[in-house]
Amino acid sequence: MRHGSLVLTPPPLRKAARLRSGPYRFGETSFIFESSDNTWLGYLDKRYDTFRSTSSQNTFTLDFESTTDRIPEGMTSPLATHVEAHEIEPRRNGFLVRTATVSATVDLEARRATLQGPRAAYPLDNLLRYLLPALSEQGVLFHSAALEGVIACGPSGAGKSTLASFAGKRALCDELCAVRGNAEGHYRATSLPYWQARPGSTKLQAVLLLRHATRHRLRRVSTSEALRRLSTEILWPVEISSAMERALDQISGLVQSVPVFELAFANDPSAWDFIEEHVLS
Amino acid sequence: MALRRASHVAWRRVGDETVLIHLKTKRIYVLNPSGGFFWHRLDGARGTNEILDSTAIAELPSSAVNELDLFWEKLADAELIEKGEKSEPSDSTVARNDSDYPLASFVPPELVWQEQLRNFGQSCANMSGESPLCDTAPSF
Repeated sequence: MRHGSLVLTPPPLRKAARLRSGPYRFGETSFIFESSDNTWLGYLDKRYDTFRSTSSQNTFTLDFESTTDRIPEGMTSPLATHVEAHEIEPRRNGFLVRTATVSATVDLEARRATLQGPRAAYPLDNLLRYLLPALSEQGVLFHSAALEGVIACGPSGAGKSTLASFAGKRALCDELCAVRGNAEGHYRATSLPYWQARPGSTKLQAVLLLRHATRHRLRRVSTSEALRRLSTEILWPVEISSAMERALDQISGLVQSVPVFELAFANDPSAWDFIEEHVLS
Repeated sequence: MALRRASHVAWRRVGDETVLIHLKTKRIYVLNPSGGFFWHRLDGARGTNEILDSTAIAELPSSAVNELDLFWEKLADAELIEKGEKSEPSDSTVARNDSDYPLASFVPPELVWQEQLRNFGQSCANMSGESPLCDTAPSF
C-alpha cells in the first residue's frame, strides 16, 4: 500500500484446493477420487474403506463437484443406496451419463471422468455401474453375489443378499462381481463394493441362478438355457463395441466351462450347507 | 444376389447354437443349430441356392429354399445380414465356414431367441428407482 493513496487490489481468485482419496481397487481398476469437497471424500472413505489399495495399476481418476441440489427425498442418509433412471450418450473417447440429479462425462482414453451431483455416495455408485464394465478389459460384470466357489445371480429380490448372509464369512459381496476366465477355461469371480462387500476373489466351481422357494432344490441347466438366463444378469458395456465382444467371449466361455444350476432355496441358513453339500463337494 | 454378415454383428458358437450380438441395437440373438450352420456359410459370394448346393444334406426337402429365404429375411429385418453384389470370399473364410451340416436331415433354420441387452442387467436401476424391491437395498 502506498502512503497517502489507497490501492484496491482484488484478492486473487483461488480455486478451491483439490483433495484426493484412494486408490481403491475395484476389479481390474484402481480409482483415485478428487474433489474440493472433503465431506464427500469422507463418505467414500466410509463406503469403500475395505477396498483401499496400494496398487496404482490401471488407474482411473474421477473428479467430483457437488451441486447445491439436496439429496433425493426418501434417502435416509448421504450414504444410502439410491438409483435413478439414466440416459447415456456416446461422446468422443467415452460417454455421458445423466440422471435426474447427476451428470458425468467419461473419457476412457484419458482415463478420467467428471461427476456432478448432490453431496452423497449414490452419484458415484450409479456411475461406477457404467464405468466398471467399460473399463473391464479382461472380464465381465455380473449382477450377482460372489460366495466362496460360486456366484449367485438373479434380479433384485431373488435372494442374493439373503444367501450371502447365510454364507457368512464365505461371502465376498452380495450384488455385483467381476468374472474372468483364463485360457485353460478356469474362471474367477472378484468382488466389487456393492452392497455389502469385502475385497477378494474365488475360483468358480458353479454358477447359481437363484429363486426363493419353500425347500431347497437344485437343477442343472443346459448350456443353452444358461446363456439365455445369464445374458440378462450381465452389466453389458453397451457403449463400447470392442468391450461388448469381449463380454460375449466371456459369457460364451463361462457357460461351456462352468456348470450352471438353478437353485430354489428356502429362507433358512441351511441353504448354504445345501450348496456346500450338493455344489461344492 | 449374395448375402453377407453385417459388420456390426459379433457372433460365437455356444454349444450347438450360435449367438449373435447386434452391436448397434445392443440386441442378442440365438440361432438354432441349423441356423448357425447357414450363418457360418455366409461369405458375401453366395446366395441361397449356391449355399444349399454346397451342402451335403441328405434328402433336402423341396421347401428348403423357401425356408432358408424366410430365415434370411428375418435376419435382414433385424439388420444382422446384408444383401448385395457378389464378391470374392477369402480362402480362409471358405475353409473356416464350410463344415458339415450338424443334423441328420434338414431342419428349418431359425432365430430362436432374442433379448435387449442392458448395462444394468435386471437390477433396481432398470426400474427407475420406482420398484419396492429397490427400497430393500441396505442403507449404510
